[in-house]
Amino acid sequence: MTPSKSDNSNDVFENLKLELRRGCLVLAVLSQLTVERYGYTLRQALAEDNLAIDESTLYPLLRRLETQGLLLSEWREEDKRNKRFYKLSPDGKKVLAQLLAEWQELNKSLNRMLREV
Amino acid sequence: MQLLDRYLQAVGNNLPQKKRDDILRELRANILEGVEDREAELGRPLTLEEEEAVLKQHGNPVVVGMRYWPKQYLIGPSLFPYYVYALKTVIPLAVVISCVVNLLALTSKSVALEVVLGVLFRVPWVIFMSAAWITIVFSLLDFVHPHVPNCTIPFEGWQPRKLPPVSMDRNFSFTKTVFEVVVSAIGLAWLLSIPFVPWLMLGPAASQMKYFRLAPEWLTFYWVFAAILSVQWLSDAVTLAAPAWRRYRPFVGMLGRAATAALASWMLKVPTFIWLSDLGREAGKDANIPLSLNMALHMAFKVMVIITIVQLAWEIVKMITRRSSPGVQSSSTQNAL
Repeated sequence: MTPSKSDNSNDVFENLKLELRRGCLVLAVLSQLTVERYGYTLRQALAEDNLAIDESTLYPLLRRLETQGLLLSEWREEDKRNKRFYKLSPDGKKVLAQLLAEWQELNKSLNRMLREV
Repeated sequence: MQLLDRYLQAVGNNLPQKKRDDILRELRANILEGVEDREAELGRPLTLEEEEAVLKQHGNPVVVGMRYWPKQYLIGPSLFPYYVYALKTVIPLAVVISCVVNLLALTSKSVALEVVLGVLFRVPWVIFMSAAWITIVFSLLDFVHPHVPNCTIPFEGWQPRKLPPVSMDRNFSFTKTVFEVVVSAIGLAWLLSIPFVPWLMLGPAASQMKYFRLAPEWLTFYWVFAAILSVQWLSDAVTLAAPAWRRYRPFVGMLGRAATAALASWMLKVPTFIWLSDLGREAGKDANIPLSLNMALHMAFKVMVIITIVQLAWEIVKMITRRSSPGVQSSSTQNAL
């Protein structure tokens, strides 16, 4: 059975939505780490703001951002359990500010264009 | 939670060795936190099925583990277009070179059929080896490129002015040309095999050739005709690897037709193409056979001249029509700009 046109446009929409969200993901994560958090609470915070991310995506992303020097982390005991806490590094703060400026410019341009549609 | 230990072991098998223990420790803490939250919600410990659901939601251990690796591709997106370009350029060229080198062996080997089959069977191996070497070189380049300061990729220095001119052959099809090159190679191999294996052309009648003598002009005709076909084949093969040569392809085709027409006209001047040999006379072969053959061959050469001239005229008309069409004019104007 060949997929119908509406199935195909649904797939296209899902892929585009995924790409759009992926682009915003780093910015969202960095913005949430201005305060110190560990993986599980960070995921909860993002989900509460309607930006749920899979664990298998979020935790490796935290490691990658740390390798890039944007995050600092440390193991600490909380509620009788050792947890790895993340927060923005000084470089991370600079990059977040730059990304935010870029995001705001993009947002302005898009809003202008979308008003014309 | 025994399932969690099994899950983490499976994830650990796919993690980078250096950070393995640290990542597993973090994953354990995060998953246990989630389990505790869920238990607090339900007010009871999780059942086995519910534990299983938590781990299933966390993701396939292979996928989870692999996501911690820093780089997950052999050739990155910045080099990939050049990699595909190299494959498209080098593979046809390697196939052409391999075919030419092996077909040249035809002239020095008596068992022509074996050589022809050898050429054909070697083509998939040549394609495979070329692709493998290009992949190795590009994956090395992709690995080395970010580690070398001020290292630029040679392809980045392109200039619009150095792009090839607009092709005259606007209907060029890569697949069609590949098919033509392969079929022509087989045809050419067949033609070059005939002196060693006359059976390939005459079939069972090849055994009767000892009763006849051929005019010496046949030898000249054979080699000139083989040369015309070889040049045309080489021109088709080169256009696959070098798109800039596509503009010359119609001219080479027309020159080939003109040369074939001239060659066939020259053969029409030959008074007798074939006659009985001494052995044929001694064997009492019918003298009318060479007479009929000469008439048939004369007619065949006349038809050959007419067909090639008609083809040539048709190609010239097509070329003139294309040149005067608006699409080509605007391209020429753009070129001038």
